[in-house]
Amino acid sequence: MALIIDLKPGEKILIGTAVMTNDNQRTRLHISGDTPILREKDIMQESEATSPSRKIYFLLQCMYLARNPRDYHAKYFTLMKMIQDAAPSTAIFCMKINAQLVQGHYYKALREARDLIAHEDELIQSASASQH
Amino acid sequence: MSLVVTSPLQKCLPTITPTVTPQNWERLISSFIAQRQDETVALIGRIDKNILILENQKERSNILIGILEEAGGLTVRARNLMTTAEDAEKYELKIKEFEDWFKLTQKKFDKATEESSFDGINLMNGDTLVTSFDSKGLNKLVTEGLVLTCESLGIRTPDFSTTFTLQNARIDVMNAIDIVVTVRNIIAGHISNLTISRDFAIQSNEMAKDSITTLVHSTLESEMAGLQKLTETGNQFLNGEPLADQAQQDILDSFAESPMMEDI
Repeated sequence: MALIIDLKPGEKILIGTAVMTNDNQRTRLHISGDTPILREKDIMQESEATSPSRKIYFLLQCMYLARNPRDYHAKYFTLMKMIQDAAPSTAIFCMKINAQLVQGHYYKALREARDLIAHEDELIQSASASQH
Repeated sequence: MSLVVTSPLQKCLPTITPTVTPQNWERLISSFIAQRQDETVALIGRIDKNILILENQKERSNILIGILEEAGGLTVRARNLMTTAEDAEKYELKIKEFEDWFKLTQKKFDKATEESSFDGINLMNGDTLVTSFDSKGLNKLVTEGLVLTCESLGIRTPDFSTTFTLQNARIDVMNAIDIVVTVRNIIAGHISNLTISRDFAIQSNEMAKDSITTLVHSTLESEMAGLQKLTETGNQFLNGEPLADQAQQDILDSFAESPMMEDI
């Protein structure tokens, strides 16, 4: 079944290793196959991976784009272990991400990683608030 | 344990509310992790079983390819005796013998296909192997077999009487080899995918074990301090190396560098 993506005018999308930029009107794409697809709003540059959870998101994105995702497993597990040791409440999110990765669903794992980032942000906000 | 019920946490575990006592949080989170662990252990078992089946089926496909190569070899040997009309006449009996051997390899091939069953699965005979990644079987890897008999592969009854009909036999065998090799490659690809999944599941479970033991000592303050320390240390765990390998960084760079429409 083809994936349907609506692009806003001027929106960029990554399909495989190609970057496509939409012209100045809305476009609907029907995409078949299992090549990595990332919309502009999904893409994180390494400079934006400023917290441990964001680094996990970035690593997942790299796995998704990589021909051999296994190359990233060591980095991923090292960092994931460090995050879980630092904040054990993240374990639930780590397990949910891993459950997707076990099935090779990298895009779904990225979506789960957004919850991890949100959890991390809320934890830090709550801790900051309780200090003031 | 004293944690903040964040909205993502509540989304994962709707039973967790700010009014639930810390002891109950700990119990709920631990039981969630334990349940996932049990599921992962069961998954590893399923994957291991199916990897074993696939390894066997890959070996069986190699056997079938070997038999087809043997048949292909016979066509070459017969052709070498038919380079001239005189030779074809001179070696007529020998060529007929090769034709009979070819028929025997056909029988051998069909028998090998029939006997390729392992643990009730015979991908060489069109069976399907399903690896379910969850207990409900909603996410699965399906390895579809193919009926690999001489008839289904289109290998005709051999006729080595002329170079033309001999060539037909050779073409049939070469086509059949291509099909069986494709089946073998699909099986090998699935073994590779499942091996990655299994390794990942094993590491994931190890990590979960540790998290249950550390959960009890966790507080909001300790978690924040831990996360902030990790943020400050950046990529020290990689000795300062970037997270992305060059190939993926190149893709991301090309995305960043591609112009926005308003710039065109």
